[in-house]
Order: sequence, then structure tokens, then C-alpha cells
Amino acid sequence: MIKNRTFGGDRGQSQFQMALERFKQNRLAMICFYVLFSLYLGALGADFLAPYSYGSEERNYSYCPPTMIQFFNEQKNLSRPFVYGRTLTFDQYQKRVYTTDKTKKFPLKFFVKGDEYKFLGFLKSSHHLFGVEAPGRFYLFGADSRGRDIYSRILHGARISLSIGLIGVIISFSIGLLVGGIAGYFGGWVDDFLMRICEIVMMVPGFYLLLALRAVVPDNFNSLQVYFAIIVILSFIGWASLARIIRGMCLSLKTRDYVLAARTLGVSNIKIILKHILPHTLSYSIAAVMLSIPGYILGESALSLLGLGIQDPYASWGNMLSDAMSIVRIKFAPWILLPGFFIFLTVVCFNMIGDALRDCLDPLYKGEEI
Amino acid sequence: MLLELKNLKKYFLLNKGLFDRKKTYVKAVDGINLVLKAGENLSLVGESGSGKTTVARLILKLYPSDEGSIFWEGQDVTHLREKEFLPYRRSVQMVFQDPYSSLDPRLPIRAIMKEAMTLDRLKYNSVKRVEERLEELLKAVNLPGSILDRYPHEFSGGERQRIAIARALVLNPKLLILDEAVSSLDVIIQEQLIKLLLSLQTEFNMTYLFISHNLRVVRKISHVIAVMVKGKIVEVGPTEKIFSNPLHPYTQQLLSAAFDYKVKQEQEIDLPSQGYLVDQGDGHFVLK
Amino acid sequence: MLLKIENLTVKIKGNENTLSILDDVSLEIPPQTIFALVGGSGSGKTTSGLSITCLLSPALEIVQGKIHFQGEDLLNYSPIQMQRLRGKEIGMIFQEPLYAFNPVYRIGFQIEEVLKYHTLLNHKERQEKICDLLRLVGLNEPKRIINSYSHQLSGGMRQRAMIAQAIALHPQLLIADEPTSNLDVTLQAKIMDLFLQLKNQLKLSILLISHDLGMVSHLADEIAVMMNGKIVERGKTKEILQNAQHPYTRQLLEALV
Repeated sequence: MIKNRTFGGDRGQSQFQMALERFKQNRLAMICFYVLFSLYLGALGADFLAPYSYGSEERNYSYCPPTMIQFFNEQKNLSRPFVYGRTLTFDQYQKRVYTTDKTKKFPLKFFVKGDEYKFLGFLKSSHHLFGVEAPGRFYLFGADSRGRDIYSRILHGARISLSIGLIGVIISFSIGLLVGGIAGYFGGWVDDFLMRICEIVMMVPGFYLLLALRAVVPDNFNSLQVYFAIIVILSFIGWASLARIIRGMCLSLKTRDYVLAARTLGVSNIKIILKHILPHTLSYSIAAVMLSIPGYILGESALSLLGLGIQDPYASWGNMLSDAMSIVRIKFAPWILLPGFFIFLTVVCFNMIGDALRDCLDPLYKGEEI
Repeated sequence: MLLELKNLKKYFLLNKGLFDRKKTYVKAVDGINLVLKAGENLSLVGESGSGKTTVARLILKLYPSDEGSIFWEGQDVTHLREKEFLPYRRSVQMVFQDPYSSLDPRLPIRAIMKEAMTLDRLKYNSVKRVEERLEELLKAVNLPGSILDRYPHEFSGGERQRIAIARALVLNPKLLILDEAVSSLDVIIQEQLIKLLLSLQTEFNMTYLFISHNLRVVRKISHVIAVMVKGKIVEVGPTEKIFSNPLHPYTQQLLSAAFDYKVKQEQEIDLPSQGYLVDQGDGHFVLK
Repeated sequence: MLLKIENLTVKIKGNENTLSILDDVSLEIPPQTIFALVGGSGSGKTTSGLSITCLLSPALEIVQGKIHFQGEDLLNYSPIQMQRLRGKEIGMIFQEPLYAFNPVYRIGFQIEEVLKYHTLLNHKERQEKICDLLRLVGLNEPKRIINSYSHQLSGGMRQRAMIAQAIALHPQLLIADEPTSNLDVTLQAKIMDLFLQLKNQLKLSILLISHDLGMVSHLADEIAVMMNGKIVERGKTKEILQNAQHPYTRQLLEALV
């Protein structure tokens, strides 16, 4: 009987694969995916891609505006790209004025030697993708109060801001799934107990809980420890609402016939939860997770803005923005707002992808009810 | 004697009885006595709500019974905990009613069937043995081995039921419970599945507990029929005796509706709260 | 002739080379007749029922054929004409009564909606009519049913309420797609009784779609057997039962024994 039927393709397509196909057809979501992918790549290779390290200061160039790349030399001929030097003077109001010094030319070079770094933590190198040789300074996005290159700091800051979102969400996602799965599957007092804990966590307003937990972190923690502490704090707030919803889904999923079949086959409860129940919550969970990553990024930014997160000299998009809290500075050096644009871009991309995922995983969900 | 149920009861709570309201229960299974002999297929017949599915789940210990006992080959398994009951799970398996929800849609057929080997993990410890066993079982239900990489949604209802049967056969159970396993399929596929089940019975040396409300189908596969109403068994006996000489008014009503499509006007069947199955001779019992 | 389908062929849109869902289907239903369309899953019987009232999935298209209802060619009807036709001249009931009613509204409200849209009766008259209809289908406590929600009724009662809704406007033709497949035998027998009663009292025709030849042969005046989108045998019930020609029909009859 089956021999007359032709199946689509050589191998059956799992429902995940079908959802992925649908996702790929959503142009906006794919664009956002590539944007995020580039941002994460940039964060990964920040040492190499940025002309300067995050701490490289040059006080003579404080709040220097972005450097223009020149393609034509004085004779109006096409020449190798270069930048002019800058000199700092103060005008009658003690305001900084940068004048271009056309006598000093610094050619733009690739694989230029600059600050030393350890790529991926162990490969020593000092080459950067592009830059100018000292004593010239190349500020693609301008400089901050200490003359540090904002472009470089954005790339280095991406490491912190983007990774905190990702790691934090992985942790709270795992906790939320497990707690929700166990509560929903076992029911009874286990369910009551776990849900009451969830409710207690959810009761406290998120941001206050964040500040309170941050206050508990010891003062003598170094920056790396603070980094992990922040991740843990953020995850601790996020898991509860996911757990509640997963628990609701598991309550109904456990009555499905294939779960009963697994029980009659003697499969252990934990295996049933992990293999049969939780995967069926993924259609909701994945979208929910994507949509909550921006919250983590913004949470870290808020903490760092207030000075409670990542400290100087380390860069994070949040603490870079604390420099921009004065309207006077924004008026005269608007480029210090650029980290905000990147936060905005990241958040929008995650939201678009989360939306698209929810759409393409949804018909899947309905498909199971047939 | 394969399986014996003595005075089995299962009540489901309707409301918790707060503020002076008495707790009310649904008496899903209300004192069932049943004996299953090896090689003798028993059909549990009744309408929806009669409790027959609950009996199946009690036998499989998917939930605990409230009163009464379950004897498996003479051993009292009623109060065994899950860990102690595990070895017995090899002996009794079930094929469910809905072919669309009894196979996990996210797993390929291979994974679904391999899961059935959980209790026999030690026996199927090499990839070769696993594959051999899977092909052997699929062949027994007339399905090609190439389907192992496919997903459930690629198959029709009848094919999925065959996969479910193959899965149930992995552990070589002595008793196979079929809970309305053919009810949602059309008549010709039902025929094919019944024929398949009958041939598998001799090949795998099994006994069937067939649960259904379709008397036509039941007649083809059972040796003994038990009729259930509102949680009680009202009549038990050899198949042909029940069909030729139904004694309980409910059985008579059921047969007339099923074969003549005639139903007498709204007769309320009264069930005694403490009834006994009285022997009418030749193994034919009626509730009095 | 109440309904006449001529050479109806339905295919999947855009796919010329695939097999047709319906292949050259022709049948005639006279007034006050119970006509049964029998076949296995995938035979095309449900599609035939849906194509009469233009409720086909948008992925399918009618490639050729005519559907004459009381002399008019339904395939020429505009969507608005079709909407007026459904319910008023042709009623439909489906297999799964759980989904036939919206669980958020009471039964009475939903049946009244049908009357509101198609008739000029006032509220009191509508309520009386609904009570009459419910009593007609064998529900003896109409007031209670009117105020109940779909999930508060048993399967059999829901099915009857659905039938009441379908015949509310006294259609000439009732299309019943597997109306008893999900019901127990006693309920099935009662619904079959009801169909006979409707045919005699309301003088309507019923197109009964089912896979159960046994059930159908007790009820239908004429039977058409479908396989793979084609009608393989057609005739009066007695003829088919005694003298089935096509091997598929014979197979179905054997399954009854």
C-alpha cells in the first residue's frame, strides 16, 4: 500500500525544519538576523576590528568630533585615503574648538600596528583591521571625554551588552522551563509550592529587585565578578513569568496520549518531561525568549548608566551613555549618543525576530491539534 | 488466568465540598469484577461515559484505584509503587484511540519505536539489534522499514495505528489493550486492522482486551464480551451467547440499536448499587 | 429534481497533472429523499458536500461541471446569493458537534442569529420558533437548552441542537457530513430516527455523507458509492444491497457482516 505513495524528499521534514523554512521567507526577519549576526561578530572580533583598545586615552583630543576621511589631496587629485591632524584651541567662552591641521597627514592603513591585545584570550597580536599610525588619531565616531575612540568602545562594549543578554536569557530560560515543566507535570503540592515561589518573585517590581540585588553584591568584587553577578541577578528576575506559562502548557500536555504511551512503556518522569513535554512548549518559549533578550540588554544598560553595572575603564553601551546625561555635552558632542543607537538597533532586531518566530512557529502549534 | 479485577473502583472528584456542600464524585468505575484468561480475547463494550477507558487505565496503573484489587497472573499488583510495577509493564501494553495524538509529532518513527525499548535496554544494546527488531516489527504490521526516518504527520490514520501496534509489540506483551483503536477509522481500514490483529495474535502469542462501542467489530475479534454501564458490568458471557441471547435490558437495547438501528423510547436503566453477577450457565453472567 | 450535479470535477489549484479530488461526479437528488454518499476517507464525499454550498477550501477549484439546485445553476451564484442560500434553502451539519457552536455564546443566541438574519420575525416569535425546533429534534426541555452553553450539553444533545439550527429556516436540502460518526450506537439510532422524521414531517431531502454503509442502508432511499473521487456505483438502496456490482461496494458490504 505504501509503495504507491511518494513522500516529499528523501527524509521526512520535522516540524522544526518546516518552521525554519517559513522563517527564512520572512525578509525583514532575515535582515534583522544578519544585522544581529554582524553585531555579534563585531563583538567577537572587537580587538581586531577596532583601531584602539577600550582604554586608550588621549586627553588632547577630548570630545574630538569624528574624523573625516579625505580622498582628495590638496591638488584635488585622488590619493590614498588619509586624515588630517587636529589641534585643540579654546575660544572666548572656553569652549573646545578643533581646527584641522592640514600640515599633518596620516594615511589610513590596513592591518596597522596598534595597541596590543590577546585575541580570544590567548593569541597575542597587535594588528588592527584599519587605523592610522601614531601620533595621528582616527576617530570614526568621535571621541569621549578622555579622548577614547567611541567606535572602538562601542565594539568592545558590544561584548558586554550583547553577551549579558544572551547568557542571562539562557540561564533564566533553563530555570523557567525546568520549574514550569516539573510544576505542570507533577501537579499537586509540588505545583502549588513552585508556583507560590514564582509569584513571590514576580511580585517585586523588576527594577527595584534589580537594584536591591545589586546592593547585595560585595564591594570588593572585581569587574569580571560584577559582570557575572549582574547576569545572575537579571536571570533571577526573568525566569518566573516564563515558568508560569510553561506550567500552564504542561498541565494540558501531560494528558496527551503520547505521554500516556510513554508512561506505559516505563519511561522515567524526567525523561518524559524533557523529551515529550518541554519540546512542545518550544513554539511559545523560543519566541518569548527572543522577545525578552532586549529586556536584559536594557537592564544592564540601566544599571551601568547609574554606575552600578560595568565600571570604567571597561566599556558597555550603558556606561558609555552615562557620559551623555548632560544636555550641554550632547549639544556640543552629539556623537556620544551613538551607543544608544546601537542599543535601539539591537532591541528592534530581537523584537522583529521574536515576532517572526512566533508567527512561523504558531501554525505549527495549531498543526498539533489536528 | 492472566488478569483478574476484583471489585475495582475509581471515583473522580467533582467538587471539593467547601462550605457545607457535600463532596460529589463521578463513579467512573464502580465495583468491577473481571477475569481474563490467556488466549481468550475479552471485549469491554459500552457507551461513552460507561467507564471502559478508565478500566484500561487502571489496569495500566496510569492512575491509582480507590478500592478493589488487580491481580496479574495471580500476583496482587494493586498497591505496588511505580518502581516495583515496572517489570509488569512489559506484559501489558496499549494502543490508543486517536492515531493523531498517540505518536509524538516531533519525533521520527525510529525514535518513537526505540522509546518502547526503554525497559529492555540491556537486550537492545547494539545499533544492529535495535534496527533488526524495528524492521521485524514493522514487517509484522505490513509497513516497510524505510518509514523509520519519517514523521507521524506523513501517514494516514490507519498507518499510524499500525505503527502504534508495532510500538506496543516491541516488549512482546502478553496482554494488548486496544482502547477504541479502530473507532476513528473508516470501515474498510477497520476490517484490515482487525484481520492484522487476529494474525498477530497467533504470531506473538497475545491476548486482547478490546474496548469499543462498535458491536459489529467486537463480534469479529472477541471470545468473551463484557457490557458496561455507568461504571458497572451488567452482563458478561461468550460472544455468541451475548449476541444470540442478551439477558440484561441494557444489552438488549444496545444490540437493537447497533444492528437494527432501533431504539425504544428513553428507557432509564436502573442499576442496583450493590449488584452481583449471577451465573446463568455456560459462563454467562448477568447483574442482578 | 431538487439537486442535480453534472460532471463535477474539482482539482487542486495550479496543479494540472495531479489526480482530481472529484472526477466527473454526477448525481441527482429528488425532493423528500434521503440520498447517501458513501466512501472511505479521501474518496471525495466531503468535498462533494462542500462544493454544493461553495465552501471549498481556496486551494481547490472547480474545473468543470454544473450544480443545479431547484433549476438554478449554483456555480453562477455570487457570494451574496450563496450566503442567502445557505441556511435558507440548504442546511449543513458536520461531524464534530463540539465545534459547531461558538462556546462563548448560548445555544439559543446562536440559533436566533440565523432567524434574525434571514427572517422578519420579532424576538418573541423567534423564541417560540426556537422552542418548536428544539422539540422537533427531540429535545424536550427547550428553555433549558436555549440558555445553555455548548459544553454543558451532552454529545447527542449538541448534535440535535446543531440539526435544529440547520433546519431553522426549513431548507429543502439538508447536507449531513458524518453526522453520527462520533456518537454511540444508541444515539446514532436516535439521530437516524430523527432524520426519517424530518424527511416525513418537514418534507426535506437529506444528503447523507458517511463511511458506514450499514447505517446508511437503513436510512437512505438511494446510495452512491465513491472511491478516489469517482462515483463507482449508484442506485436504489435495495438494489445496491442485493446486487452490488462494483468490487469496492462488495468490499464495503462484506465489512458489514
